Amino acid sequence: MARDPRLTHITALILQAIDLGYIYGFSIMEMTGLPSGTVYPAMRRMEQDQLIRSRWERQAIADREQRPPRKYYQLTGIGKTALETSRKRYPLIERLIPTSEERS
Amino acid sequence: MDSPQQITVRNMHLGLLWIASLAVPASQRAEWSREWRTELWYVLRECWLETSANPRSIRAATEFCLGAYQDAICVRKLSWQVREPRAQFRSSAAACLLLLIGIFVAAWALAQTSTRVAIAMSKLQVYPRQLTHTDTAPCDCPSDLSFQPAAHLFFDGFSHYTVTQQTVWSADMPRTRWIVAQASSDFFQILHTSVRPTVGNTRGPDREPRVLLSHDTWARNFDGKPNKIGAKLHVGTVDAIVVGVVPFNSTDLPGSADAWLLGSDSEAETSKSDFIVAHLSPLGYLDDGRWGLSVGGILLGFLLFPFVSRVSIGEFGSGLPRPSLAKRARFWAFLFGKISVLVPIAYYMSVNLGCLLMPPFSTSSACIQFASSVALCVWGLRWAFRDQQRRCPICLRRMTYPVEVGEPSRTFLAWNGTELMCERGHTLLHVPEIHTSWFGKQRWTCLDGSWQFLFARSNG
Repeated sequence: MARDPRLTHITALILQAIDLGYIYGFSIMEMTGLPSGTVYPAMRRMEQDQLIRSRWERQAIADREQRPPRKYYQLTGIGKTALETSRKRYPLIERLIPTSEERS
Repeated sequence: MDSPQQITVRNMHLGLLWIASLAVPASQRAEWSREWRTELWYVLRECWLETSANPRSIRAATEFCLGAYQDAICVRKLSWQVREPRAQFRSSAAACLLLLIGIFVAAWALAQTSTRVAIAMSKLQVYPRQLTHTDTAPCDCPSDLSFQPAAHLFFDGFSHYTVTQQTVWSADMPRTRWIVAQASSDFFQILHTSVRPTVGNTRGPDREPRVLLSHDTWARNFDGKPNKIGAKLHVGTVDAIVVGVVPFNSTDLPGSADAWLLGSDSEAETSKSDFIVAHLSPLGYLDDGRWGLSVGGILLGFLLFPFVSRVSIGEFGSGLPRPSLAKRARFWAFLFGKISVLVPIAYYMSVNLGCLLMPPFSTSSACIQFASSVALCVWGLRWAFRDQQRRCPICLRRMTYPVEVGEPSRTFLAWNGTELMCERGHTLLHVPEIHTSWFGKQRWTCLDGSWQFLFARSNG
């Protein structure tokens, strides 16, 4: 049973980060500046609220690059709607996290 | 190639993650650990890339791992939320009835065992018992015998045997004097004994006397040879066939004899009976009138209950909406359902207590059984009513979230008591702290639809 998602600042930040392509935990930590003890629990709740879903990277890709496979997160339909809502509620969020182009 | 320092740092952080993983539910632990170990690998790689492992970067990695503890606790809490439907089931009417039925089955199963124990304990008192009139005619109707300690018991079979010294011989055994117990042919069936002959069995050709040897006799006179089964043996004036050997140190047979001669019924009747064996019926304990003690105690419990407890369930606020007639009928049906399961529980539990706490068939056992049936009935009814008083009349769930309202010192100026709420938002229950003329009974208030938004999650 999905609960009514609570759109806090942290939720909005993580949604924004994932939408901008920061799709694994450590990169979301780096981009949002939030500690691991905040980011990962928030992502657990968001996943339970069906705002995001996760999948493991294919082992073959990770082996080719000689690193362990990562767990990637992506927005669901509900998550995209929630992100739109959060952008209206927190207009400055879009400026807090740079896009990939801005970053490069 | 990792340096020893890197290996030490990595192992230390893996240890931190392993400790944190213990807080994660076992079903999710592997997945959770895999993600955190993977992320740690990238964190440490960043550390080693930046500098050659200075204390600052190691502290950053440690802080990262400490976050795993918060995450583990979060995962644990979320798993509890997933289990919430189970908790909701525990407060439901179905769970209550299932629990009662489970207790009833346990009490019934225990009663089956305890009455058998009672029978077994009493059986030891009954046999072997010497007849008081062995000099008179053989007993055709054992029911006219007087068994002082167990005269009121219910038997489902009688048999008898006599012990004599007989001269025994066979083709390959010289004449020897044996102690022979001569019994009727149905002796072992009546005894319901668990004797399983070492070799052979207790049966043999119809209408032909049979001999069952004791283990010592078999070893002493026949060197323990199994081929003696089926051999013909002369026992006094009777020719009998050896059908089996009693196991070594068997204690299931009364008395001690070198051999058991099982004759035909006609022969047994003509013999002089010294001992009689009676078998108590497994149903004898209750058939003997013991059931009446418990039933009477339960009836007395019903009569006493209004005097020892408040029978009232509660009332609905005047002028406020009430549950439909069907809901109210279901509410009362649930109460009667509970009572109808509690009655057999009280019955079987009182039988168990009477059997197990005191010597069976004794007067003290009967007293215990009667008193416990009264007490269990009153206690069960009291519990059923108290449980009913704390249930929502609409969904039959236990009322939750008790809140104390008001102050005892202002009882006569303002309402003072405890308020409980249905977790699904159907009703509020007001329980007065002190019963007054204007608020004597607990009172339900049915909540209308405007409250439902507060309970959307529970109803979903």
